[in-house]
Amino acid sequence: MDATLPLRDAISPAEASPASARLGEALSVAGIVHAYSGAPAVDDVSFDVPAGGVAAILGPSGCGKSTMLRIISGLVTPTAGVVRLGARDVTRMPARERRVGMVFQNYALFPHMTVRENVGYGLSGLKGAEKRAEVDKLLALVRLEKFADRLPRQMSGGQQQRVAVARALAPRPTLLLLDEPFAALDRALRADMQFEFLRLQRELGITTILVTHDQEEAQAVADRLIVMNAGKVEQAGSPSELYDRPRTLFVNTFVGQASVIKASVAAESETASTLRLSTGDEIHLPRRSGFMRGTNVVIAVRPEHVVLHEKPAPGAIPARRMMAVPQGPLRLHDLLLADGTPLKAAERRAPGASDAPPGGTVHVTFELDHCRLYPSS
Amino acid sequence: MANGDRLYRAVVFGLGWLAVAFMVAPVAVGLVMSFTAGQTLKFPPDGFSLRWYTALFDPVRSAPIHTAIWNSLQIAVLTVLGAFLFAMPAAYGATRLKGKVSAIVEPLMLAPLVLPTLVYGLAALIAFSNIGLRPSLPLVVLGHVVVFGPLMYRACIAIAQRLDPSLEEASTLLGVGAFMTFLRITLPLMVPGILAGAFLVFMQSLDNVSVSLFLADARTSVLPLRMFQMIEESLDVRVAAISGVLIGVVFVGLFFARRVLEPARSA
Repeated sequence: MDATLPLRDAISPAEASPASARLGEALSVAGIVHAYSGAPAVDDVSFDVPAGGVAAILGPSGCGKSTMLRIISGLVTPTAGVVRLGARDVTRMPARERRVGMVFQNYALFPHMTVRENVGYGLSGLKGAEKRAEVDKLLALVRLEKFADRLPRQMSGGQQQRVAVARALAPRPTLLLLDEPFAALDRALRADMQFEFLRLQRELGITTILVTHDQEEAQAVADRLIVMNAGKVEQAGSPSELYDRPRTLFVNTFVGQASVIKASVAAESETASTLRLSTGDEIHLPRRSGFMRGTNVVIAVRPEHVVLHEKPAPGAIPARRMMAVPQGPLRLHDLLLADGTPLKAAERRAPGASDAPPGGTVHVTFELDHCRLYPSS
Repeated sequence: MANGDRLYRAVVFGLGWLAVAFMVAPVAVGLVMSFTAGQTLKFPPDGFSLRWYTALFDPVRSAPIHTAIWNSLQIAVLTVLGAFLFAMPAAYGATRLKGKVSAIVEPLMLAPLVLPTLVYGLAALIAFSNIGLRPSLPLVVLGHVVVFGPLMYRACIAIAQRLDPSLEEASTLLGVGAFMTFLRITLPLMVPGILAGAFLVFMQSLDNVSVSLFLADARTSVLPLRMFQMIEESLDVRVAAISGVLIGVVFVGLFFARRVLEPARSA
């Protein structure tokens, strides 16, 4: 279903040089609350990122993820809560003393300075040849040795991003923050930059937190996802954990895709339950639903767990084909159930098979083990 | 449609060229007159010579003019400096204010531009006399800073408002304090605004009559007042020569200003 390669698995930690892999410190935030003029932007947020880990704070715009990043960086002091970096409580420590590297969404390169001056800006303790050597080392790290004397505006977006990363790493931070780091890059370049970034991250072992609204990006890069919605953490865990066992409907639909069907519990016993869908059809789960009889619920089903049948089958529900789009080895169907509920289905594409015309009727069943139930909101 | 287009173009271009002619013609006339070989200011000139320029640069005959030029240059340079020291930080600060506060501060900062300078000059003279200050060159500078400072403020705020706040945040996170961040990031990025403001303030100060008239003492003659006297007394052609020099300086100034304000960004 997910076309993105899980990059974090493609680069083995064995490649990382053990000598330099001690840069990262663990981050822990607990009970963070922050309000801009009354309305809370962040409400009781807690999570941990182990030293050397890559975490992605994932959520729609306005969910408070950028505010969290600014709180961790020290640019914003939270109303309540604790930010801990390694063993230090840094909640009240000013941003300039925190030694936290940050890559801004627009990179925020100093436009009047060359790449060398930008990267050397945070090396205030070094002078002359020593500083030059350190900047050269950082430029080599991001493979921009040849661009040292360019101005930022003379470089492409991808190159600018690497300058921003090199500049953020210069003061040897123990934590690196990235705000939507790949959003401004076009799709083809993005995968390259993500791979390049992970290579660097593994090499340095620096603890990294990125903020993104793009779940594919988060899944590709991070080993830990923190899904936020409306200022709160919905769920935190590994990408597969969140994909396979989403705790809320929001996580289920935001991490990966899912269709949502309204239903009510028609029968409930110790070992089985029956759900009446909004279409009037009934489906039988071979387990307890966990809800009382008569409760309104929603069923979330991922496209790869919808099975298509050309002919009516026992327990199958009729649906109208609206659109079918081939995507790599899969074909993605947009279907409509009898009551107008949209349903997405993914089907393995037989090689050479012609695309079925839209408009016909198809019959669907669900892989019931993978259907998840949530209380109706 | 085509007819309407033609009419539209005729009106717009016609008005445009009329405006250009209206602005350029007096300058051209003044310039041409300054090269006259005759005794008086008139157009068209009697013959062509550089005699009035020679007369203007004669250190003995034009000594009072040179004094006036020197005074005016001092006043203009000090006014630019004063405007830079007060208006530039004010402009930067104003961009960091909340909406409500800046809605109050902004008109206050620009008020001197709206107030008739003659009124300000008279009011300043009376106010200064009351606290025992007599007209002098520093008072002229002070008056010019108040009246022309807003030009610097406006030029700077236009740039400061467009500065990306994340640049300063990036500097902070790289361990650099607020003051050094201002010197190394904010100030260099405001240079185009500062130069534009400096040019405007310099020219306005050099040209000002109304404030200088009240705040300059009898011994401190300034160029525009001096020129005015010369025309009143004798239609002295050296006034045209001074204008010629000023026009030349302005053109050179504008040429360099363009270079600095629009550097080879596309390179």
